[in-house]
Amino acid sequence: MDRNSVKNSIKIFLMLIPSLTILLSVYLYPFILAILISVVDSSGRLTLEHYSYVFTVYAQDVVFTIAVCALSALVSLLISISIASYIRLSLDEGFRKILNWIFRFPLFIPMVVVAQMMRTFLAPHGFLNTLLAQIGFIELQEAPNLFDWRGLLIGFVWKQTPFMALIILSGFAMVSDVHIDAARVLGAGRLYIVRRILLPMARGSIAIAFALTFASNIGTFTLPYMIIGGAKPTTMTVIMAHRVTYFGDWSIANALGVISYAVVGLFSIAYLREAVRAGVYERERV
Amino acid sequence: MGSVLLRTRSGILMIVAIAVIAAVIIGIALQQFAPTTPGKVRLVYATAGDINMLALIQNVIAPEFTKRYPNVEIASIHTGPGEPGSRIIFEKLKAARDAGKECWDVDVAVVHQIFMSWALKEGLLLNYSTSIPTWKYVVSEDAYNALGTYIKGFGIPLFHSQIAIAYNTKYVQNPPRSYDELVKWVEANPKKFGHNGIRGGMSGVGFVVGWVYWKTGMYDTLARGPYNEALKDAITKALEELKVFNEKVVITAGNVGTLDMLAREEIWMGPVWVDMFMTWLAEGRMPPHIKLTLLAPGLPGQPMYLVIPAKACNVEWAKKLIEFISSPETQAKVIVEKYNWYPGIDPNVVLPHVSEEAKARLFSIPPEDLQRYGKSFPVSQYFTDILKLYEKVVG
Amino acid sequence: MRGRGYRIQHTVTAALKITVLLVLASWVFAPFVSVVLWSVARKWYWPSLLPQELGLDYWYEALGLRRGYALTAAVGIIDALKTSIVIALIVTVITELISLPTAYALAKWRIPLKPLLVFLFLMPQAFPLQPVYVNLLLIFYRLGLAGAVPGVVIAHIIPCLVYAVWINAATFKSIPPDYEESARVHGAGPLTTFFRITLPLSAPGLIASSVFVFLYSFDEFTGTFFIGLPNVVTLPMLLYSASGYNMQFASAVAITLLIPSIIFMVVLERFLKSEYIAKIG
Repeated sequence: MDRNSVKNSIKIFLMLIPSLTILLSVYLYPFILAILISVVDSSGRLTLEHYSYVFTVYAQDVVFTIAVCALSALVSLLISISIASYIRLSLDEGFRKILNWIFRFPLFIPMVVVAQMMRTFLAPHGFLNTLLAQIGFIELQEAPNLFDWRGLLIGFVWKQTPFMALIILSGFAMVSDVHIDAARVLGAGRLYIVRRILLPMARGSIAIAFALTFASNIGTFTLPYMIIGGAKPTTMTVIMAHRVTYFGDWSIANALGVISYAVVGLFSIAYLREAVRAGVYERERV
Repeated sequence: MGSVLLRTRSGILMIVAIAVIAAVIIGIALQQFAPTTPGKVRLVYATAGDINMLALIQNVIAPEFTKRYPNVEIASIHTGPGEPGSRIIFEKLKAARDAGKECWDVDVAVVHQIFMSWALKEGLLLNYSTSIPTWKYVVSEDAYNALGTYIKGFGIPLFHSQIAIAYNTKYVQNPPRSYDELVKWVEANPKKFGHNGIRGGMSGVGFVVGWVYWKTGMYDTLARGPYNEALKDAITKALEELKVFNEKVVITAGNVGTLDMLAREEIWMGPVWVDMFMTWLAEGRMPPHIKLTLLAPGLPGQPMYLVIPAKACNVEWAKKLIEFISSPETQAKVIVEKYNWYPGIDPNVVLPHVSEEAKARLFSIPPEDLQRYGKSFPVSQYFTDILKLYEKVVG
Repeated sequence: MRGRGYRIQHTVTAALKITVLLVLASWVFAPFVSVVLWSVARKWYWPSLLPQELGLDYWYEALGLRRGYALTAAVGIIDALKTSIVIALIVTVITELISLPTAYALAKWRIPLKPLLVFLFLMPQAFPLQPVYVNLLLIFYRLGLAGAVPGVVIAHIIPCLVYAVWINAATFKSIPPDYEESARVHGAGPLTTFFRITLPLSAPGLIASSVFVFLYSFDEFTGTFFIGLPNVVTLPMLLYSASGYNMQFASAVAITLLIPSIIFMVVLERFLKSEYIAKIG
């Protein structure tokens, strides 16, 4: 090992150390404890019974959680890319400014409020349907009950889209105008610019936005609890809370936690590797 | 080069400056939040339950108590709605004990029934209640038995609340009087009855428990023990029938979900907590044409308890506060008149202090019905069985 | 030559823009209308579209101007609001400072065990935090950090680091290396390059991550709850107390929560954007 690489390792180490210290000191111990609890039975022996219980009783809920959260993240992704592209490429200053402020609004509303809001808004006789019925758009008797995956989807998309759009927009903002103007001069349409210039150049931001949104959807408790509640299927977080509240059962709660972590990890690592892969000052492929 | 160096230095300086500012803010914040009240007693009161539980202490009890004892300052904490709120108090106390603290953060706690067995198993509670004067008014069985755990001395009921069936008089003129009649009604009116199952709060749990009482016909065994594992079969069978019933009802999102759907007339009937229902009426969110009734063979109700942690910092003041809360006057003026709860102590000593109007509200379910159809929750092993089997059988 | 075709096209684009704005605005604001209405409703029975009786009672109680027995007001919104803002600001500053070097290293250098780091830095977002906070509480009791602002700050930093590290890493990643290289070629040192080139160029991403960290901390509930009780009461805790139970009070709190977040975002954007433009232009 030459002196340079030793120096480099030390440098890297020093830069990572503040965040790693915090993460490892306050997080790793409780985290390992959680994993241990999920694989130990009441007499302290190693066991997988908690996991098998999860898969016999809650398999449907696990699948449901993953599907709804992934779908919501995907829908948010599509909407947020369109919003971000609009803002980045529009030449109309006024339009851009208004759009830029409107879309952010849900950022400022905490999840608890989103849950409560959606509950009064989307209910069969909620604000939306009552309004539509008074205009004569629908019949209230036939108003659908959206308090299942659809309610969750709407809630997640409403809350998370601006979050994603802001990250993606910051990615787009860093694509130099030079590239875009050059493409415009050559007669490229908006769609072409988005597909061939913005998306590839901001793919790191997009991957991060997706991974973070998916992860935080999976970890959300309030929205599913207040929208779906006791109905079946429900999300893993609701079940965890139920196990702990009524049975003081941290084993199964933690097993569910480990499963959700594994899912998020697998889901995200592919994206994030892409985002951070190419290190060491190598040329971007554009 | 020199100027470049200078700029770098200014960058570093900027970061250092930000760090210093942050440190100063933290310092100020620390001072601001340090509890500094020399010569005063700071009594920490933690309560589970809905937000009215917090208002009870902050806006009603604490000002009165501080008027009598000006050296006592009550700090109140709300740990959240439903049993999860009690769970958090339990986790807090357990953490304080596990950390080996000399005196714990909480002096008085208000908790659900299910808390008592957790806390007593861990030895987290003080045996205090027989030593305070108002113990002589405590007559209810709840003071001795909480879900099958013998608790004499560890808690005084703050109030009692009951699960009842709310129905919309616009659509339901003759409400069902029993589970039997309810099933028939649901056959005729599919998707117009709603309950919240077992993962969304106790009003749904209570409905499920009542169903099991009805189907098995073994209330006495289930509610008083002793535990017999063989009953699991009977419970499973009852729940299988509930599964069929559930196909024709709406599963709502929690206690509040049921109230919401009733208020918007999306469902015409559903199980609710009486006190929550009354508060909704008072706050203009539940239309007045929705009324309450009970079902035979019965629906469960439960008290909340006033408890003192084993290592409370201010035991004497905690006892004084509990004595104040459990006095007939406070029970009449606050618990019954303001909050629509059934008193935690002997009604015979409370009712003389209660206004006629409040009595009328209290007896919107006739007292003799309450006597007959107001049941307890099952002992904890059966309770756990019912909840776990529900997830397996019903979903 | 600008003929009729141009004008028609112009009208069409204008119509399209207005449609886009209208659709987006109703999607975003319509659900919130009911929150605003609930905060001033004294009586609101279905099927009336609007409350039958209006009043500011719940606002008075929420702001601590009056005390009711169905609501909490002794803590009041104002005190909780102050606590929330102070905590969120501290958390934002510290988190950004800690995350910058890490994000830079992750984005720019070849680091051994990078997949493991990726995993590690995702952990707090992916794994449910409640059991972690319970265990953290045990540790904090021993350290005297339980029930104190620094403890709450640390509890917030954990999940916030995820946002900050990842968003900042993505930001640094998308700065073309050419700029930094040419600065280095012209004799600037690594720190100079970072402060003069990298940092200003990455302003949009840094703004985004600061906003998220601030908002996350401002809205954080679970950690504050476990670690902060009984001395630290933030706005989301009030909101949680009221959640679902008292619609009117919760709505008033929710609207109050909006104000500091929006101010923070506007100030940050103004400040950093001018900085950023000045440096580039």
